[in-house]
Amino acid sequence: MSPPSVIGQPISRVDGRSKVTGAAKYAAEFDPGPRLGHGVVVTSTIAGGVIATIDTAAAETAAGVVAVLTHRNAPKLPYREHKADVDPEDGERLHVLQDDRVHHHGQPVALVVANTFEQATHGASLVRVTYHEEPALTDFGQAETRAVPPGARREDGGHPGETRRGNADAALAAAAVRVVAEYVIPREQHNPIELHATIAAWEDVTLTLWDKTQWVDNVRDEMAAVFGIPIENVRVVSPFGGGAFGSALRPWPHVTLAAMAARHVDRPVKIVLTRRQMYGSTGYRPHTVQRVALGAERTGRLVALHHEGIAETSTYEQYTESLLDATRLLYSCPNVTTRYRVAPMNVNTPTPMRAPGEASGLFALECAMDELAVALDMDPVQLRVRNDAERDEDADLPFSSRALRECFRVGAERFGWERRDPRPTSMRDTSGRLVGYGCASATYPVSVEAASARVQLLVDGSAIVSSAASDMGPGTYTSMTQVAAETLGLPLHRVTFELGDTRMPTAPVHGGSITMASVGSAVQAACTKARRQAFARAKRPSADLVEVLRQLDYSVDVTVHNEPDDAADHYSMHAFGAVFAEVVVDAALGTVRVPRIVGAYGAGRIINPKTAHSQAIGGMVMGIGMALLEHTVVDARSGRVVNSDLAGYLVPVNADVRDLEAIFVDEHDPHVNPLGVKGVAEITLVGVAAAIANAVHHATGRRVRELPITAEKLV
Amino acid sequence: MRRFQLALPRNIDECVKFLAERGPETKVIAGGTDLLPQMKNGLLKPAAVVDLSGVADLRTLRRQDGSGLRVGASVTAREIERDAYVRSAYPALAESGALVGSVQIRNLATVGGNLCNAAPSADMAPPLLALEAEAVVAGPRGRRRVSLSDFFTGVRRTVLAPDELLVELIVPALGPRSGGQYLRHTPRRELDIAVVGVASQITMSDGVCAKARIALAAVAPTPIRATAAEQALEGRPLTAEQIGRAATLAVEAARPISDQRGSADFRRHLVAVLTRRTLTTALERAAR
Repeated sequence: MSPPSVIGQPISRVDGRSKVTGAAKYAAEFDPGPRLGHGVVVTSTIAGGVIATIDTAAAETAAGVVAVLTHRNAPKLPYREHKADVDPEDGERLHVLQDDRVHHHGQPVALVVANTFEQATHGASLVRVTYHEEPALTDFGQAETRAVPPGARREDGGHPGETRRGNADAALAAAAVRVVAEYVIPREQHNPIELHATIAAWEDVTLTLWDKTQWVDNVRDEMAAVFGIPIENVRVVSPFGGGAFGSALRPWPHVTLAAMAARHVDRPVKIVLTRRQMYGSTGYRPHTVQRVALGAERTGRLVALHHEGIAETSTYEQYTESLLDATRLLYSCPNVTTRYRVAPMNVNTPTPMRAPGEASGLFALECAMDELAVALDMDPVQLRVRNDAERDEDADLPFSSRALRECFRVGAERFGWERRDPRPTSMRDTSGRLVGYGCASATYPVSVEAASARVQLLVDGSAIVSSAASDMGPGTYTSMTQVAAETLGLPLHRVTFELGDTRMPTAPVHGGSITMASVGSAVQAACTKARRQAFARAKRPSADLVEVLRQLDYSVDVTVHNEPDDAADHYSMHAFGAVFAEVVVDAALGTVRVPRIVGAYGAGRIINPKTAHSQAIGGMVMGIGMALLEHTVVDARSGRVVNSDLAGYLVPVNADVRDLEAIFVDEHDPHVNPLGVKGVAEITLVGVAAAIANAVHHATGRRVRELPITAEKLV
Repeated sequence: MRRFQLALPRNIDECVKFLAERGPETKVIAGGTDLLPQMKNGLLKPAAVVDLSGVADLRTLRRQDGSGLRVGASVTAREIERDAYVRSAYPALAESGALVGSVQIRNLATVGGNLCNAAPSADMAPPLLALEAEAVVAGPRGRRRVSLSDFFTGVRRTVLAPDELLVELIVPALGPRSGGQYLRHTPRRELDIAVVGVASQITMSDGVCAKARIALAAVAPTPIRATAAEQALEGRPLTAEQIGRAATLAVEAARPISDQRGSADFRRHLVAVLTRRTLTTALERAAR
């Protein structure tokens, strides 16, 4: 008899005990032996120019210092062509210590390697750098005027400068009701609690890296390209991630520096970036300015939608994201134009941060929808339901499934939306503070990438399943164990899932909410095949896999490479959701508190409701931060991030977080992938900031269009 | 971080002696929650550090019969926050202790450290100013008492000479029908630095305000008293109108700057709101 289904069960994390006891090893905690050297990076203090002089004499003679690397003595590296999905299509990554040019504040200009971290830190403080400073573009207001259309083409996965269906200008001019508004989102940082770290060790011609990364295979491929060595000679290990949210999608310059230094000093070298350094060298969500124009009939039906956005990027890479993508398909509208521009600046390259594009783009669109509801004197939920799209009007494809209406129905009921008095400033709590209810739509695309998994069925009746995937926190270990146990027909405790090593079968990037769909499908396929093989080799017939395995003389070992089918050619595949937020505003002080958020999501099948719920409320917490607190402040004189620590860059603390609830509506999507999963990572951030901003408007009558909504903007 | 000599005195005399010997490049460490980040960031590079953890005399928090409270410089914010007597007799002080950092930080951070670090935003300074606390300072020339309103001399500067140590705070006893409150504004609810903090302390007598003390944080180079606002209240009943007038005068006492945490105008607005609110609560508490 097969054990009861474990898919869909709220299993506690299988790696929970190892995490809370400290047994789980993170990149910086590996021990490559007693000769480990510690590297500390010296970073530029100007935004643009060239290094004039660099004096390393004091550092070189400081106690414990083994070597000081600068562009003058660093080896010239091949930096062969390498582009992964996570790299901007246009431009070239920073080549670290290869020349004297400074592109941005915080760029590595030297590395001090010493016997201890303290000695290296002291040594780094002794390096003196002077510059020939050149005019640098660090002010977004100036850069905006020189913004350019993105170069990448849409068919290559790029984000186009212009898109158009129908005639939005004419339709807008003729519309009965119009809303035109501009929305601003400042630069935001990922701020994972684990600092970015890399340990590099060479053994003859092979390189091992213990790295904080969301994609071990790509770190291997990029380092092989940078150093001009075969990929077989590089191994990357990353079993645990202490958060990342996108910051560890790409290998940043310190990864190359660690490997470069390890070879230079012929010892393993560890680099742990400081919190401050992470603000200048691990990417961020770009600052955006967006303009939205909506035109509607009196009935609320959208007739025109224009959405444009300008975002910052670096001078050496053109970072683009799906800022306007959701706008083209979220609602039914015959006339839609989008316009995307990027402004090159003397900054380090932005990088995807949770729900890159959708989080920013839908903040603007969903606030504008709320403004339209007010202009129409219509309920904001009703407005969204009225404009629900039957098919993807952008791709001209049917949706594989779409639960937007159901999410609004379930979410509104759970939240108690009917208690909302639509008039702004009309609701108060028992202490007389203003209360507001707001809502927003959420959506995020479903993607499936090729992935492989290995299954070893051992003669003791247990299974080891592996894939070079990552777990930055969502619970990959747990959900994959559930998929494997269910597919094999083994109890959970007989299955071990391993990840995070390039020696394992290849896996795609742990980002874009694709891990469950992609790696999960590979795990399922490999387990199906392994189970079949085991039964084929059974000596005596039995329905019990454990019994069958115990009869075998040697283990079953299969690896399956799983390619997605062609569903994406026939269906538009997206998760949808509805977010409801309540705010309480102290009108005199301007403080906004968020006592409640309810999110309802149609995200396909939920493998583990417990970890999915955790991930969803994590997205909501991040949304509270985005709405009320987060803001990277840049000193335009030098390009320096002013608030580059967790005291200055505010994210919510527990005291800011109250009742959060995520509901996953029943959704059976037979098209997305064999598991029927859509992914829940990104979508749970989308819409949260807009729902809060709309609730603030409902509470106060004040429309704040520039994040974060600080107290000062409300008094 | 620069290499430094660490001294571990066992009593106040040893501490003062060491300070006198080592001179101005010496820093005193209690909880270290302000000092260590500044040393790690290179803002402070002391040649020597005196660790107070072995000086038991600095850790006493005691009620004096009829004459108020003595708070040792090494008493932690957490002790202030949780002490039953402080909570009932000096709620403004307890409230300020409860707002410093997080629980973990409060278990380390000390009253003396909060004052000697002399940040304009120090949370425990306004209630102690409003309570007219005196600082007891030990030095090679003996002990002296300094009114807390004379203690702060500038941003991160105090009257302490390099060879002097803050030993304790003496908080006078309050008369009957006294009440006080400390409120601050921060973008997030915990683990944040005051954009503005206001402490109000009043004593009522026969329906009029016999005494009022109002102190402000983060609106000037040092924590300050709003004396004109205090004087406007004394001898008058505390009507909403009087409280509003005091709030206006408190705003006039403020000399805020604009920075990333808030503009000068917003800080002035906060002073008005928080002064009004703390006075209103102080009045309620005085009636209990």
